[in-house]
Amino acid sequence: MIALGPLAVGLVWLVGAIVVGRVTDPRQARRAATWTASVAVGVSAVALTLPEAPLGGSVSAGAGAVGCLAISLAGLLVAAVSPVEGAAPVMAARLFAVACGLLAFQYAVVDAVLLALSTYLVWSGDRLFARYQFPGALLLIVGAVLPGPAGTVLLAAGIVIRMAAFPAHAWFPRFVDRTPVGVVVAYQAAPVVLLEPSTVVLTVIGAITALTAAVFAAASDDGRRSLAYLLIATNGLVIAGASWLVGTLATAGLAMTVGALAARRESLSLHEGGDFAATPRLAVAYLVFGLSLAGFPLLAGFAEGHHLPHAVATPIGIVVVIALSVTGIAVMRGFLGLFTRRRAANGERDLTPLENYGVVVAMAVLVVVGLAPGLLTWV
Amino acid sequence: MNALVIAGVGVPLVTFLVLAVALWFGLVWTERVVSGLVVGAAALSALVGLALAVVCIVEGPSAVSLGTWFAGFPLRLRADWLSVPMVVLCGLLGCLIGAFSQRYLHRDPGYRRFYLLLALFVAAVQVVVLAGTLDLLVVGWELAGLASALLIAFFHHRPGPVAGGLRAFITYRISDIGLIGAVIAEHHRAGHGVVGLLLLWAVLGKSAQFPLGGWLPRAMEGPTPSSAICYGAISVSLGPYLLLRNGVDGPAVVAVGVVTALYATLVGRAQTDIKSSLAFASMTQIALVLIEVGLGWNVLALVHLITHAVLRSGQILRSPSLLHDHHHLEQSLGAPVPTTGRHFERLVPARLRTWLYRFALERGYVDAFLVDRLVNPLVRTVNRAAAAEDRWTTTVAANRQAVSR
Repeated sequence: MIALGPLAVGLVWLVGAIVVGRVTDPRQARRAATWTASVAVGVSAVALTLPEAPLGGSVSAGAGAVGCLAISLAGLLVAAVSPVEGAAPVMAARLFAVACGLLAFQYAVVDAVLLALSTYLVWSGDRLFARYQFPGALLLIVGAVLPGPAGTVLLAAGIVIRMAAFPAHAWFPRFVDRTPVGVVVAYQAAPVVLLEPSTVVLTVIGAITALTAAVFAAASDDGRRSLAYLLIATNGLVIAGASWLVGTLATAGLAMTVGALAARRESLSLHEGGDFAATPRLAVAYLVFGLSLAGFPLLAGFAEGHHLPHAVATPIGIVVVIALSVTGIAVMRGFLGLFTRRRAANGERDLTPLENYGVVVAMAVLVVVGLAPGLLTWV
Repeated sequence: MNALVIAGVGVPLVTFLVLAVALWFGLVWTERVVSGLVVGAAALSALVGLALAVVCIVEGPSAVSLGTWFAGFPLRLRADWLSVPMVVLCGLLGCLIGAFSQRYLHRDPGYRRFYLLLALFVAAVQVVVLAGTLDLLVVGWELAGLASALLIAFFHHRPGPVAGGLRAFITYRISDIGLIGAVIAEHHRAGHGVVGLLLLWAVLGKSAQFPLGGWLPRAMEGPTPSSAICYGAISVSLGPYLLLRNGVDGPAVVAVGVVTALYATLVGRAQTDIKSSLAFASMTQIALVLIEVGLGWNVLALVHLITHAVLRSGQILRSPSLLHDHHHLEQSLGAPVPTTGRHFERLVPARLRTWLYRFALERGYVDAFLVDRLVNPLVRTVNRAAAAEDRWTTTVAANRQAVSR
């Protein structure tokens, strides 16, 4: 089945990538990328209203539009909050186009090929990344082609590697450390989980990944390293059965606030602190996006945090509950470590109007969905 | 009835949301407007509680069903002999603290943030006390914990309050596992004993009971008014309320109460600052309430809880003026204030007294054990594992790089 809505959104991102690529001034490029993301959000919203025709043969209008909306909102955050220098907006736009493509073409083989394409696009020559991600992409393609249990096992292995689940996670902290945050978010936005075969083993791996990564995030003394583990923890929860929609948007928000902070100061050490009074909006955004990941009430992640432990076997549910709890601790430690205990002497700036635009839209969606979680099931 | 119960929760919650949006968009409302909104919301909440009390007396207790929030999450509120007094108490204390803080925090740079968090705290507590299901109670419980932790860390330029806030939040999150576990256990139709033990685990952190009470004296680093409402009165009282609401009693509850009461009263006597002393006094009284809950003396427990909350709030609000009050007392007496606790000297042998004093001074070595023997080794191990992984990935990448060249 080919879904027209996501196809249209994907095309918007592709055209946006071309347009942004022709703009030489980085500031103008960022504005163009933000415009592209806004149009993509608008098209996704329109696609939501179109009738979905799951039995309509090879073409469906609205299918996957909500996914495209989440991806485009993440794209809006990336475009608006990325620093002017070194943001790689063209690559991010291409990756978002690929992510929408996954929702447009609902054939496992096509999806696996698209994921491989995104891996190739992101690869910057890093050997560790290649060592993990190319075999992972190959496993996904072969797994999608092969029928029966062999295909399922290969698909599961490919997903574990692609989503940096334990024990195939070692490449990810280095990837987050050396790649523009926007590209990390765009690479993460691809809904790999749509290929996920429903197996108990994957659910167990997801829950263990979520817990282990949350513990590593809580113990880390560096904001960027903590972010990497929080992203892994979210991937684990998604593999275990949490909504990838909320995960995509919340991780995008958290990652971009960390990226914005990294552009403002040299070190993200939790021991050095920051000044809440100087950057209150940035601090609150970090907290809101982070607590959404941790399943806090009145935010979008709460309903998932409530459902997931009930939906899985009791031991896995216990692991998920502990993982969410530790994720909350990691977020609060990051918040207090990055935004308190120091008086700003270097004139650290709060969110710019463009950044504020992206953050407000994403946060509003998280809060509205948090207050009315039924919206997710309605769409 | 429906409108009253919804108003009890909704008014402070809407106030919080309005203030949050206004602050985000930089609307500079005057101190008077901000505090007026929160004090008004708390006062209205208290009045709603009083109206609910009248309705309950006339019509009897009632449960209000508001449908479902989302699939599998029923929205039910309950007004009865247990929840209504707590609604009134929380509303009145919120109003009192709000009014007190108008002068206490006048021209403080965080004035609006304080009232925002106060509104969130009052709303969260009203959700807890009026919740008709454990699922809904979790919502208020977690929001109250968040508001408390952020209030402790209110003076964010100083490391002490920030560390205290983080510690409180960590303790809350660890004990929240018990509450959420109880919700899951209840959904899976586990026995009342299992649910009760999980709820008791939740209470240990929230009500600062042994051995998870180390955060409470550190929480006094926050502004005095928030200490009064959170740690002297409402927040620590939520634990016994949770047990009363869910009918949890028995020897385990009594045991926690007895151990904590003995520990806290002993440690409290060795404290040299008034706020820490009051923190341990709160811990002791809440432990006594737990004993009453464990023994099934529910009405006595509720009365004890409310009277303690009112008294302790007053004491904490008055604590910054302790020296002034002490001088007044001595002037009135015409002599130094008589020392208390002489009976310990008569009853306890001298050698044991020294040991007990050392024990109390070190706060029972509980913090040292938890932090030095459990948390720090775990953090060190995790960080060593992360560092080892780092070295491995660097080596792998470097080797490959060398080969490629």
